[in-house]
Amino acid sequence: MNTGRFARRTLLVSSVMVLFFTAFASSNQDELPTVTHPKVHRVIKVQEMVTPVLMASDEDILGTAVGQDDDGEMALVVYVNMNGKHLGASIQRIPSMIGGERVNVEITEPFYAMAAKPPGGVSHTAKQTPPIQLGTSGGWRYDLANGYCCGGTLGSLIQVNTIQYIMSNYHVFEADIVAGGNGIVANDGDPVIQPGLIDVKCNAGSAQNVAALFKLSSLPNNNVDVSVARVISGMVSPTGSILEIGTISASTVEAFIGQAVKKSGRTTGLTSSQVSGLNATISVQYDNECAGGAAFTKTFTGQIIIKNGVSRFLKSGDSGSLMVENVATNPRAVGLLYAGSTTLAVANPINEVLTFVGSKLRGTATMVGN
Amino acid sequence: MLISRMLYLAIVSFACLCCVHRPEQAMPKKDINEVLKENDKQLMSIPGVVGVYVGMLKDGKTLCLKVMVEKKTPGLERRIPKQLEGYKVLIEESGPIRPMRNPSG
Repeated sequence: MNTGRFARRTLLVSSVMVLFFTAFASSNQDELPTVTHPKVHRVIKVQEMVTPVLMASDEDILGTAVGQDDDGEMALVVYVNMNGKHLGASIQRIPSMIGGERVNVEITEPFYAMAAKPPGGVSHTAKQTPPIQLGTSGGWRYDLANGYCCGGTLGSLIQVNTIQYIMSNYHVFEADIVAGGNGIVANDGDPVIQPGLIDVKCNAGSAQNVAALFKLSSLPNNNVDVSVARVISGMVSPTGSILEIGTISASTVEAFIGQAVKKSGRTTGLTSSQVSGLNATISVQYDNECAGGAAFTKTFTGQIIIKNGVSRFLKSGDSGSLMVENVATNPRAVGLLYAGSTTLAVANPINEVLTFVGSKLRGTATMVGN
Repeated sequence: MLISRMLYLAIVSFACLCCVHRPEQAMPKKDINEVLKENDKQLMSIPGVVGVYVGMLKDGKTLCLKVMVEKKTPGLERRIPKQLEGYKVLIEESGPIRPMRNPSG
């Protein structure tokens, strides 16, 4: 009798295990969201029905696709042109559900055929004939330590009490705060050069002095990563013109989620993206000199987050770039770019930057522009 | 008797209709920036969290809170709440956030 009971129990357990593994195996196969997956197929049916209507109704709707929403559920993705004149209205008109399927909105640049870039174009690293435009390679003349030289971007021009200053980041102009590997620290009056050391094989003799550092010591005690250098007469275009952007507006504008923005920087040149987050609290680690040790970790609040997929918008060397609204003429400044990762970029809100700079220079700081 | 009963039914039906059709008085949500301010320190104190911000769900319309982490782990997914005061909380693997200057050897 015991043997029989044991055999029945074994059979029962084995059957349950077979059923379990069979279900698991088949569910694993079903989970791959290929075009034949029932859930994907359902969304495709809706997509085929509504795409012509959506695209005909709004010229800023660029296309559709099947994707996943934040919960991992299949959804219809609607691509909207970030440069569209009525972006907000376009987004609002798109329903959250169509035909019983969830709808995601993806704001994107217009789609282009990916032909190779023709030769020529604008260099953001070459030494310019003065007066230089901004959005170019530059940095502290003595930013050489521990076997490395460092640099960033001379991002923009500001004005305080009729004096013009190149604006970049604290960590581009004045972050060398220990004698460390080079025996010096950044001081008032130190030359700021164009291009930066990283683009002249670490040899300052191949660069030109364009401005003189005015230390603001914004970090670690303030909520902005900013530094300025007073322009040397004749060396910088007094219009504040930025490479591939031109003259900007003297006005600024507040960031908003979905805002189309662009920047001109040393490494990635002219790039565009969109604001994806606001009011960010983030933690950034700073070194005490070029390739030096850790100096401090700074927690910023109220920061602007920008999409930076595969570092397409902002990369190392672009620090100090000015982020402006992505419009064709007289764009207004939105933020000062300074940090990021391979997925996102971070900017200080521009008004907070200008307020801080103005307080340090005892005047009202404004962008140089129209 | 019949009239009373009918009257009674009419009153009850009307009351029920009122109940059914009275719009729900939803509690207004707290401003999302306030929710972030009240929770950012605690979230930032979780090892692996590098930032928090106000973002948007993929529907392009609904605000949410996003928590940036160096690397998404099951531990972090358990520790970070899925919602705060009615706002969805999403985890975003950002990697470490660094200053964007360029050292060159």
